[in-house]
Amino acid sequence: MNTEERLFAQTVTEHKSTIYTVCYMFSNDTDEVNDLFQEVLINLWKGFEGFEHRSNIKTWIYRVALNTCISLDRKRRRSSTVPLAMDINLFEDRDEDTRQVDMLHKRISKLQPFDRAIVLLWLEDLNYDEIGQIVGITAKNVSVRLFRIREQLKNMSND
Amino acid sequence: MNTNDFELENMRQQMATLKSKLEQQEIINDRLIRDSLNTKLGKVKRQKWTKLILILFAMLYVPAILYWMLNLPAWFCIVSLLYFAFAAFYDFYYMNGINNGDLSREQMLDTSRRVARMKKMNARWLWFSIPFSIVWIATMAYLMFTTDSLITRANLEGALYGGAIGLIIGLAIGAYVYTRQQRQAQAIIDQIDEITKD
Repeated sequence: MNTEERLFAQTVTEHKSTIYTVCYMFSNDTDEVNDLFQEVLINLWKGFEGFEHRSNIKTWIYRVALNTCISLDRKRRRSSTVPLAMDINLFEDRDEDTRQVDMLHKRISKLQPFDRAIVLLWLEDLNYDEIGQIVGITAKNVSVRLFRIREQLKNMSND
Repeated sequence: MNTNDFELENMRQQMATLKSKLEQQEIINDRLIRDSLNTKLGKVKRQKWTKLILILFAMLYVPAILYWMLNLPAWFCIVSLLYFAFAAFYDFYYMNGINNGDLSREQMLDTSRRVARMKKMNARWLWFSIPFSIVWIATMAYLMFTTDSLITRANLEGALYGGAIGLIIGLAIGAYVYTRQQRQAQAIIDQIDEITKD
């Protein structure tokens, strides 16, 4: 590996849970997460050269990951997906922690993709400006959307 | 604490649980990194070249079959060639996927607009290609019946039955793909409209 490749490996390893979380929230099963995760890694690597390291890397990773999740044609499964190095399965394990995570996944999955992205970014503690920058709407619009999302979530728990 | 706050606080806790579970996992190993690094230039270029080779092959193969084997008139072969060329042009310039530069720079809204546009263009292509294919097949069948060719009439009837079945299946698949793509594109557009109207 050359210096750039090593830096890339280090960067994605540091942000592995961020990448995984986005893929997980936009997937319905383990295979889909694997596919998405690998596609996000490829897109991050392709864009890594052009990334100006002065800007926030986490915001950039979110941008690429969410755009990949939105645009990937799910019909076309990768022929050679490398399985992720995990000894847990968030779709199948039954312990209490995984049950909590699954509840979060179920709630977020019921939202439309944009709302899913907004709530995900909000849960990751990004501020309204940062969320707006990634999604492409104003900070004010983010706050309006979040209010509506909260209403939706409340209705979900009432159902 | 009201219900909304409770919901959100609960979700934050669940998110923290997810993060803590993920942090304990390796997730990215060397093989995964190597696989991603290797596809940097290969994948997109390979797909484009494969497509181009298939189109060039079709452009050579079709006239060879139509003109020399089936002895069909030159005008029909030229129209068929033009159709393939147009299909190739349309595919390359309008239906190509979103490139990586866009994914790195664009906001989610712009990417979604592109996806919606691509799906619409894909669907619109069916409006042209299905009627054209019907006329093309009908014309070819007529010309095959009325032109002396290497294929005997017995073979021809079999080919026509096969063609008719293929056409019906093709139409059904086309209609399914069209409605599905239109529905997906409309769903994206509706959400973009909703999210930008505030």
